[in-house]
Amino acid sequence: MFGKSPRRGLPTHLGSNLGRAGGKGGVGLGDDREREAALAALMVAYQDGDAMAFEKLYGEVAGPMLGYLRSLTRDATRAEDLLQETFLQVHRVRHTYERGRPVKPWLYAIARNVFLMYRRAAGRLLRHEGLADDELPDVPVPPEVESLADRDHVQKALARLPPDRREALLLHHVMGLSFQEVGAVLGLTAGAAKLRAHRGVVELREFLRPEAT
Amino acid sequence: MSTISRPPDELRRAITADVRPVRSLVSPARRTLAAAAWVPPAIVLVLAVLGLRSDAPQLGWPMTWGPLILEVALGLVLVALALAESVPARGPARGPLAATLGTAALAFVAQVLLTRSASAGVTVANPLVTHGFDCFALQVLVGLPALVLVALLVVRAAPLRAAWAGVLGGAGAGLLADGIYHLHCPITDLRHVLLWHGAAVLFLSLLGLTAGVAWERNERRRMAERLGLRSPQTP
Repeated sequence: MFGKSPRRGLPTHLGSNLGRAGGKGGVGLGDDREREAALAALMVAYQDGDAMAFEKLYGEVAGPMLGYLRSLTRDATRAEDLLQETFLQVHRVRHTYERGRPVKPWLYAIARNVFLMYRRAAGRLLRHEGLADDELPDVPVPPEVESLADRDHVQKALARLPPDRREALLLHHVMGLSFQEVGAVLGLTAGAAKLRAHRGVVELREFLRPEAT
Repeated sequence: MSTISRPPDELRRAITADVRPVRSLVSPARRTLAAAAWVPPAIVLVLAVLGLRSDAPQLGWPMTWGPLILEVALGLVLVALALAESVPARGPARGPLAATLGTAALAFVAQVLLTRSASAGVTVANPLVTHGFDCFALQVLVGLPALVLVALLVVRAAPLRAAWAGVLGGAGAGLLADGIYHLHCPITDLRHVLLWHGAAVLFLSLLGLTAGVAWERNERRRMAERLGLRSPQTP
């Protein structure tokens, strides 16, 4: 279950977006590699000045990126602001995407940096904003633990995880990044990213044991 | 979780207004070659203006040019890491990063010790003071163009951890400069070399760090203004 490759099934929100884009723009839907190739093709077209490619790229990745930003900010409204800021940054630095390399780690690294800059810029404001420690806004749930409890319980358990473990867990098990890619986003080795995600899942399962809840 | 299929109008307008084609950045390794191209002219310049160290015959070819090759190689590795750091999701992991910086520091000390063991060099009355600041200033001067070049290459990309990119670029430029300046300075006394030449490498690293931190602050300020966390600065 916690193998090296990213999980095969995509979260439903991403699946639906891919379906729409695939129907319209000829984006392949086969497996992760095809999806990644489709994203790379959109990114290259975007770099070449195709505004439609940007819209399609947005349709493909905005949903999961919003989920990721929600898990980081714990504030649904702020996450939407940061999503727009992320895409402004993506536009500004689109030349730094190297053709032939995976798109998702590049995008998530920018999103993460936007969050970190926001956190530093907001400073004291953050202490008075956001949700309580045991709450998260609507964030995607790892399929590995979805069957263990209802969605609310899983989200509450996710909220209790240390942020670094939650982040690695979500990036791998929900966003579908490989451990190598998670490491690239977080500035860790693949092994360290795997360890964090694994500990996150173990801890999450612990929280979701019937006697724990 | 809700799906998002279209960008908001405001974002779409901003993108559409500036959707010109852009050239994809070449890999960090290839951009490092641009920094490497600075090395031969710098060597020629130092030798032409300051001259080859007077104890070169004593040191022999390996110990005259060996430390240069070692430090230039490690300096370019650090520059390559700085340039990788300036591309989202290409930055090195913290462990390998710390290991590379540690290796560079060890290599610096090792070449100092090896040079000392090969030649007593020119003896000066007070190695902690005599020629110290001259060496420091000249070495920094040799390294500054490299630092500026690396900084330009870094900001041309998108440094997410600009402070790290700055330290790496500064340390890389510092090692390049030390390697080149090794061809000129004939003082091998450990106190002189470790204090003044080491200080020049550290100074360039700190300069890189300061530039990186300033860059990060500026980016953060601009983002805070866009998000309405603070009002724009009045001129």
